[in-house]
Amino acid sequence: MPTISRRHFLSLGLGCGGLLLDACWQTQGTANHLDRAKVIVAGGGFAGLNAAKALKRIAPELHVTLVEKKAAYLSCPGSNQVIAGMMPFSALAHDVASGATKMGVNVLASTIIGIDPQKKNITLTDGTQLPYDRLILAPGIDFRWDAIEGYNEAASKHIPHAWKAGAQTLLLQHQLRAMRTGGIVAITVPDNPYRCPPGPYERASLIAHFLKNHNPRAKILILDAKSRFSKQAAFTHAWQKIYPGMVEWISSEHEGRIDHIDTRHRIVHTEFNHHKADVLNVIPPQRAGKLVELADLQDPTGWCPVTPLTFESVKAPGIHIIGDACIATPMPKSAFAAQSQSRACASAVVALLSGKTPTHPILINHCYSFVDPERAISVTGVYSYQPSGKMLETLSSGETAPDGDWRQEGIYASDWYGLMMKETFD
Amino acid sequence: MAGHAHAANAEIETIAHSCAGCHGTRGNGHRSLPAIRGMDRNQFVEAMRGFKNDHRTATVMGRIARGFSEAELLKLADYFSESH
Repeated sequence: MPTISRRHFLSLGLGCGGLLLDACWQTQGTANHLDRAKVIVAGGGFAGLNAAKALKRIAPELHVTLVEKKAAYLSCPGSNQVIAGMMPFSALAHDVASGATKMGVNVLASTIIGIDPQKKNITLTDGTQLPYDRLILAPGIDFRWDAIEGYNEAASKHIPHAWKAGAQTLLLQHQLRAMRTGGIVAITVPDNPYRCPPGPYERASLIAHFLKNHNPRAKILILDAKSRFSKQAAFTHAWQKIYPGMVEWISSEHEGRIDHIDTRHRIVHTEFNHHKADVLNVIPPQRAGKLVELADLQDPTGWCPVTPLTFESVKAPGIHIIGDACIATPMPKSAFAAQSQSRACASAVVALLSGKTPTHPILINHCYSFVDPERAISVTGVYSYQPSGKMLETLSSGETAPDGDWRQEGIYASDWYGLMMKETFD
Repeated sequence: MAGHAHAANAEIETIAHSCAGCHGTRGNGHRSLPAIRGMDRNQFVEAMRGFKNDHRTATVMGRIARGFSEAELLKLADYFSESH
């Protein structure tokens, strides 16, 4: 990108009016004027699409390119409802390009195969190199297939994880429908951090709803690598009141962690016990989407350390990582958190490209979980950037009480879902 | 969007972004999720104070309002009351 000094800029004799002159002053010392700046966003999910759209909203003159191979995004929020037969599978599919294109984002259906943080460019599958001033990566998660002995990608073809929406969602749905009368559904849950902390317990609740109507003697076992979980009080209350005797949660404190899984016989061996299931859903441990490895942006945990003011990588200047892939502790990995981070990151990127200091955002996570088709519970956190520790601090947090207004939250949860899809994809 | 207006609004816009997750990018709301765009300034401030100190019944807004300082909610009230 050619550099242009302020003196040179003024000597060009451009007719700077008062307002434009102010803009010139504010951008001095940077090589970039926003109408020349290029931002590339990788990933067409909740983080990536909302970031690309926010960039165009804040600075319409900016050149924003979004790289996403898939034409349709399959939403994980809502996939538990599909598994339980409360929503059609087709409702999860959303067109990646149309909403962003309307806002002036250049959407490329391709995959990034190279990132050069020094030269500031990316390489696509066809060999095309694209330069960037700022790169925003939103690759979501990948599974750590080596984490559980006996369970790997091949095994997932008949023992679903269903933790990325798609064929896996339908596989679990079909297995539940085909299960023998009075059968056992076992769900294994990894230790933190993982995508959607309350998701496994919402899944257990909605599967219980399905089974209560179709296979009422069936049972659900949750084999957890943790000793407590998100919205525990309200979920436990829901299981006792709505699905008495159907859902059993087994903490790692009781049986230890999973030792190995016999996928042929659907037996989960914990350190002190074993459980035979008729339908087995293994939610494997996770890490940042593989894309981040192209620039070695992950740390030994497999997730990407960032400064959660700008979401810029602490390992590679000029590259930002948002959504599930980044470490934004204490924010959980959720679609809501991803959209909140995407807006904060977009604001920061525009500020940085304009030579300004990014202002401190307030970030929010607010996650609903349905416990049946009408009732939902939620967990909320409000966060701000703590400059001294270069991390986020929790300003406020809370979750739905067992005696809360679950029906009202169910209405909000449905409408939030509609809003989230509209904001991201329309 | 360049120049003064952008710079002056950047700080509060960055904070107002946090409301967008439930009330929409421009605060337009969606079905049961209330619109906050164009909301009367005093009404906004009173509602947020009520949520903060639990004088106003809510499912989730208490948890959220307690994350904002008095100065921030006054600025948010200005921002949303002036958005039309």
